[in-house]
Amino acid sequence: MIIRTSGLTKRFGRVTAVDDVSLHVPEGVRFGLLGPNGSGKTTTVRMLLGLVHATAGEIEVLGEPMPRRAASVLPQVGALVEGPAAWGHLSGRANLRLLDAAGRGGRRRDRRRRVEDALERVGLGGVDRRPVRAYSLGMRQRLGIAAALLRGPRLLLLDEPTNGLDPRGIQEMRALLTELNLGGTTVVLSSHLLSEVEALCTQVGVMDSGRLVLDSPMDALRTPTGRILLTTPDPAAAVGLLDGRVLARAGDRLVVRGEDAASLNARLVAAGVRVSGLTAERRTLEQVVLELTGTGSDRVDPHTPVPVPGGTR
Amino acid sequence: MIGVELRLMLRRRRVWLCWTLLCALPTLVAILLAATRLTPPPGSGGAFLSAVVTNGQIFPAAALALVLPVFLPITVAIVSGEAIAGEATAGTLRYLLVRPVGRLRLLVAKLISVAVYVLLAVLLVTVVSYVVGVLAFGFGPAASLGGAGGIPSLSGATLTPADVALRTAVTVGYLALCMLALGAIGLFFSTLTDAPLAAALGVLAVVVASAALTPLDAASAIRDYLPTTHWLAWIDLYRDPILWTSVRQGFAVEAGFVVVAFGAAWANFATKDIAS
Amino acid sequence: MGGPSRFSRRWVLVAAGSAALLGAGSASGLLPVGADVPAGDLRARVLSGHPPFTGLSHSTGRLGLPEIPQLRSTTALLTGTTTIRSYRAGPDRWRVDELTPAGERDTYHRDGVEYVWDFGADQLTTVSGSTPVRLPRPADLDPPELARRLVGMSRTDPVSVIPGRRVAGLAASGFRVTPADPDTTVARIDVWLDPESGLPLRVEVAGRADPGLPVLFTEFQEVSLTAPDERTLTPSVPPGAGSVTADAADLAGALRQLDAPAPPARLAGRALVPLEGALPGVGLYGSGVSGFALVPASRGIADRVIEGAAIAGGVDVEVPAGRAVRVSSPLLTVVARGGIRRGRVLLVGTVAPAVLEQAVRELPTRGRP
Repeated sequence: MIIRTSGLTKRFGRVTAVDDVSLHVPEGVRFGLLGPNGSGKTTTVRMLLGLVHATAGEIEVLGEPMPRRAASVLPQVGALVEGPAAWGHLSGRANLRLLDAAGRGGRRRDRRRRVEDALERVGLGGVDRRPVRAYSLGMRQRLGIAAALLRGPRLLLLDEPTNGLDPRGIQEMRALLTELNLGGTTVVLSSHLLSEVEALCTQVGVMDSGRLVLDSPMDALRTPTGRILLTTPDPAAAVGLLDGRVLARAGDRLVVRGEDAASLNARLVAAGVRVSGLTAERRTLEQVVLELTGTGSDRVDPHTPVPVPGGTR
Repeated sequence: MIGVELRLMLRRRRVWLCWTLLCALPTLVAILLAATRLTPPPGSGGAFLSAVVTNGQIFPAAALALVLPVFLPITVAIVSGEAIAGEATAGTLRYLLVRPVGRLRLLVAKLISVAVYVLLAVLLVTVVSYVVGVLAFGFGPAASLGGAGGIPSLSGATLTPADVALRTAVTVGYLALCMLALGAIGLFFSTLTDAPLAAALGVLAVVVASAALTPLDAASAIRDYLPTTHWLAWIDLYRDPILWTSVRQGFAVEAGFVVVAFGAAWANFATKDIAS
Repeated sequence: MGGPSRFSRRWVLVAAGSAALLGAGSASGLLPVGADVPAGDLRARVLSGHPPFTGLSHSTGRLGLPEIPQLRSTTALLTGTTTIRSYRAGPDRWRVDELTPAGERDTYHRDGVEYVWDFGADQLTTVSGSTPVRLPRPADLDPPELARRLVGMSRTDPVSVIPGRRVAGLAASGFRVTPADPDTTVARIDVWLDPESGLPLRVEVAGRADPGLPVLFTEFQEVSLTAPDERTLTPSVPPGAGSVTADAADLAGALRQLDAPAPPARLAGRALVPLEGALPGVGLYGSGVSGFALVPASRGIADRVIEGAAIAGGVDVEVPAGRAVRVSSPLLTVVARGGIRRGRVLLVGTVAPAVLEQAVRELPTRGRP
């Protein structure tokens, strides 16, 4: 486990921002922390980094207790917390150099190389000397990620990493994070964007009003729903053949009850019904999140709700 | 971190603006005095101001007396109030802390950068006003009259240039310490709030309150422990023989303020939740 | 996590440190004070010696006198705090500096000649000669000088021992003089001195109006029992500064211009004290701490005092001719008479108001008796 918390609680006066959160992030995963704004994601990330002190509970990062061992833990952690920040009157390069020089570790001689590497990785390799205050939002975001990558971290904690990036930038960032993850870096990102987490993460945690309502591998979430989506040029024949198992029909698309897509295919083909598309339906992340955090949602799901599978925490 | 902090400070435009303004006020006064030759009558006006026209070498002392009551404290309040609160507002504080930079180490670096700021401020005023004073008013009576480049002390005896240099050096150090005490208070206020302006105004409130209490007889019990009480003690360095009593006392009190205010800053900042 | 407990522990540490610093600043209260010594011995020690010393003292007066522009430097001594730096090698060789925030006024005394250096005026004045009566000046107010003067004036009054205290880092023993004369305004004179050298370190004077509150007190901030060196006692004129000479007898000349009548032989039942070197029209009456002085005044000064008296809470005194007012401060009583040519006078003394009122009524109303 690269991050382990137990009973983590933070109260600001009478407001409980984080309530009894026990989070487990195994090494090597891409973990997505989802939740609406104000659900306690950022406070949790700040507590993991020792910026905010917990009211109760234990935190272990990289196997060591935080914030007591911050001095040995944090050098192996790269972080982006609530948006990037930089000294506006200096260039991006000068910012990274100063940040690198501010803490211990890393030889002075390698500083220039480290800074150039980090800038290169986030696509700012050719940035000029203008001060950061003249940067666009996207450039600042890239600079913030470069700062997180500066020390070659074992763990990356990124809060809303794709904020301000255009679609191409988002694509690049996903590729970068996947590449880093394949190289052994554990990536933890928090986001309120489902698509973001769904596209990138292998494990997901969901927070709602301070509580961790879900912490599970992505695969386990996306269980079959017991329905098969079928596309066929002969919908009428298919309906005739499958009779009572067709739940819905829209043009050439059918929703069929059942779990075994292969046997359904064999049966259709044997009966001469052509199949142009066939998938066993899996639950989307969105569905899961909406079920768990349902109160805040004003959407009405077209499907009848599927019972939440056991094992959610 | 200390090197980083100093580089950050020296590259701030605001810091250079403060220094420039501090040097500009005495320069303006020197130009006006040189042009009009209208000195304040003896015994009124700023300290030493009545004597500068006859000897430009006293001008650094007069310049320090000019900037000390208001100008210097304002710039110290601005610079020190920004120390932590400025980083918090910019958001760089959280990145420094997760870099990681220890909180105590960050505070020490900030205090040192404030110390360097005040020392350079006092030194710049001294050097600039010496040059300006000599250019505007000359070196004083010629050697044939017994002047020989020295300046008269408050007690009448003439101070040799070496003597003047020594006393000026002690003055610069002493005033820098007085201002550092203010800076340490600013650093403490800066850990209390995320608004640099609020911290700076807090420092000025301390200065004004202390200056208001100093002349009150009713406050005589606490007078010696107020920060502004000792600000003018350096004038005793220009008496002959030097009167160390109040300088020594002032040194102890101001150093105490640095220790206590820094301790308070540490106590507050060490476990503070960084929510900016 | 223990966040709250660590939080408070740090603050406790800082509070303890601040308290320790404050304690160190006021720790002198715990150091030993001077032992009790028979009061008569202490009085004798004050009167017997002039130990050489160098020291810095603060003298504070709370007499509440009316402001008189011509006498501002004198009234300031009795109504505010004066910082005095004294270097005394002996009774006739000393230097006393009155320190102001941005300057100083130094009086040097060598072999009967006085030199006054005024930084504000950028001028050294050499004063030759002396007068038997003069206005108080800072040099009269450092603790040894004030103690010697007051104790000398009250040689016959009873003394008692008071608790010792710590002054300027020295353990001082104290004694109190309680003037016996019913007409004096002085309730007590307290003196603390270094029992070894006999050097007075602190003097307090309280009036009868409120014996608990000292209205004049002077104390060393710092003192060293070493004689000042010769260079310190030598006045010097910096290049470019002015240098003038004055004669103390000039004062006599100024008084002579007023053409005041000679002082009567008795006033309010007190005899005229004979003075060496006459000042026209000036008389001292009474003895010890219950005496007063009669000084002819110019029209400007007399009118000013009479006008200022109203603000200072003065009262009119009925006199046969002209106009007179009395101002009572806790220690000093002042009566001014104006409105008579050649008969304008000031009566100043540490005596009960009734005594001076009687004196002003007894004064002749015409130029010559």
